[in-house]
Amino acid sequence: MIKRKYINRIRKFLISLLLPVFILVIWELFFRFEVFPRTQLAPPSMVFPVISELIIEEAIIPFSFSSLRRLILGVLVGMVFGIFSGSIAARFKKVEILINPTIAFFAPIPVVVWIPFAILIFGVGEYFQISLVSLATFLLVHMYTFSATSSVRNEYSGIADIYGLSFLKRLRFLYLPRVLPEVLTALRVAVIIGWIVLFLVEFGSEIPSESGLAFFIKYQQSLGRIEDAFAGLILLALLAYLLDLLFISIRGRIDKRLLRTTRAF
Amino acid sequence: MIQVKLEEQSIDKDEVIGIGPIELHLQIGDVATILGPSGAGKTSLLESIAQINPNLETQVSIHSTITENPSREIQIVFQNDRIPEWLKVNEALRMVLPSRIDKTKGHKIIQELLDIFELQGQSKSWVSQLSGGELSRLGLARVFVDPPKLLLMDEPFRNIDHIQRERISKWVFKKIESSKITTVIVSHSLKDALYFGNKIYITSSRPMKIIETKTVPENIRGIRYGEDVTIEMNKLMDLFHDISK
Repeated sequence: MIKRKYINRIRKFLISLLLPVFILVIWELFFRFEVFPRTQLAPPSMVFPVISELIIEEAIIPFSFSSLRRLILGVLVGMVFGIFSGSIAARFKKVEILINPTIAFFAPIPVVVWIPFAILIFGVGEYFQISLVSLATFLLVHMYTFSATSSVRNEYSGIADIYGLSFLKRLRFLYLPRVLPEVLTALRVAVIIGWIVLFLVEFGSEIPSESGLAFFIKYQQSLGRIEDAFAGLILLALLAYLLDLLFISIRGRIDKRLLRTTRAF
Repeated sequence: MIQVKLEEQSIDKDEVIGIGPIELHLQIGDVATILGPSGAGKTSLLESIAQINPNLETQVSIHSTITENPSREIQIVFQNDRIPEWLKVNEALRMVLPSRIDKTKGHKIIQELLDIFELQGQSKSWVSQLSGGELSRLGLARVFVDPPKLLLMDEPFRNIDHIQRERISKWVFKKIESSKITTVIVSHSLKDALYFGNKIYITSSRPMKIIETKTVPENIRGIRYGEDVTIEMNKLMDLFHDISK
C-alpha cells in the first residue's frame, strides 16, 4: 500500500517534469539551429554548468541576498502597516470613510508608475527600492485585511460589544486569526509584484554596490556573457519559486486548521 | 425590577414582519419563557433586548436605569452559538473574561465552567472541531464566565443530548435561582418552559404580540417529572389548543 503511494508520487513527479524538459529541448534546439543569433541566446547545456559554478563559488550569493533582503523588508513593512490600517478601518467607520476611498483610488495604479516619483523622494538608494515593495504590499494587505475584518465585524460585533472588548482584544481574538489566511494570500501576490518592481529597479540601477540579481543579469549581459545572464535569470526564477512554495506550505497549514470548519453534528 | 418595552415596529427594513407592542415586567430573579410559533421574531426580540439588533428598538430599564448600549449586564445565549471558529475552546471563554478579574481567578472560573459543561477534554480543541451539542454547551458556558443581570437564552438546550441536557439544565436552573439572575428564555419546549419559568408568555406570529401570560405554580419549578408537572403540561396544551382555534 505504502509502496503504491510512493510509485504514484514518483509518477506524478515525472509527469510534471515532462513540460520543463520539453522546453529545455526546444531551447537547446533553438540555439543549435540558430533561430536566434548566438550573441542573444545561451543554450541550457552552457547555462546549467554556469549555474552550478555560480552557486559553488558563491559568486551569486551576495546578489541574491540583497534582492531577497529588499523584498522581505519591503513586504514586512507593508504588511504591518496594511494589517493595522485595514483592521482599524474595518473597526471604526470614520477611519473607513477617511482612508478607504483614497486607497481605492491608488490601488489600481501599477506600482511601477511610482518609480520616477519615488526616485525624487528617496533617491535611487535602498529606501527607494524597499518603499516601492512596501507600497505594493501595503495596498494589497490593507484591502484583504479590511474585507476579512469587515466580515468578522458583521458577525461578531454584537458579541464584542456586549463583552466590551477593547480594540487590542478584538485584534487578538477576532480579527488577526480570521484575517491571517487572507493576509497570506495578499502577501503571496505582493511578493510576485515585489519581484517585478525589484527587477525593474535593479535592472535600471547604475551603482554596483546596490546590486541585486537583476543588476547581475544586466552586468553580465553588457559584458557579453550571455550564459551568465541566463544563469542569473534562472536563479532569480528559482528563488521566486522557492519563496512561493514557502507561502503555499504556510497557507496549507493554516487552511488545515480552518478547513475543519465542517461541523460534525 | 426589569422592564422591557418594545413599541409596534417591523423586524426588517422592508417592513414585512411586524412585531410589538411587547412589554415584559420582570422582578429580580424572575424567569420568563417566551413560547411562540417559529419565524415570529423571537430571536430578533432577544437581540433587540440585548441592544445588538440595529433594526429594532427596545427600551430596557434595569432598576429604573435605562440601558441603551450593549453591555455585560444583558448577555445572550445565541441559537446559532456565535463563537468564532478559529479560536480554541478555552480561548473562546478567555476572550469574554472581564479585565477586573485577575489571571489566576479567571483561569479557575474557566476550568470550573469547562468541567460543568463537560468540555474539559476539548479545552484545547478548535471551536471548528466541536459538534453541535458541544457548541451549545460552550455558548451556555460563556454567559456564566461573568454572569449578567439579565440573561437571554435562545433555545439554549436545542442540540444538547438528553442525559447532558437534564444535568446541565439542572445546573443552569440552580445557578439562576441562587444568583437571582433575571432570565428570558425563548423555547419551543413546553417542558423547558414549565421547568425554568415562573412566567410564560405566549406570543402570536406576524405581528408578534403577547397574547397570553401564564404564571407557573412554584411547586413544579425545577422538576421534570411527576403528576403535577403532567397536569400543568396538559393545561398548557389546552391553552395552546384554544389559542390556535
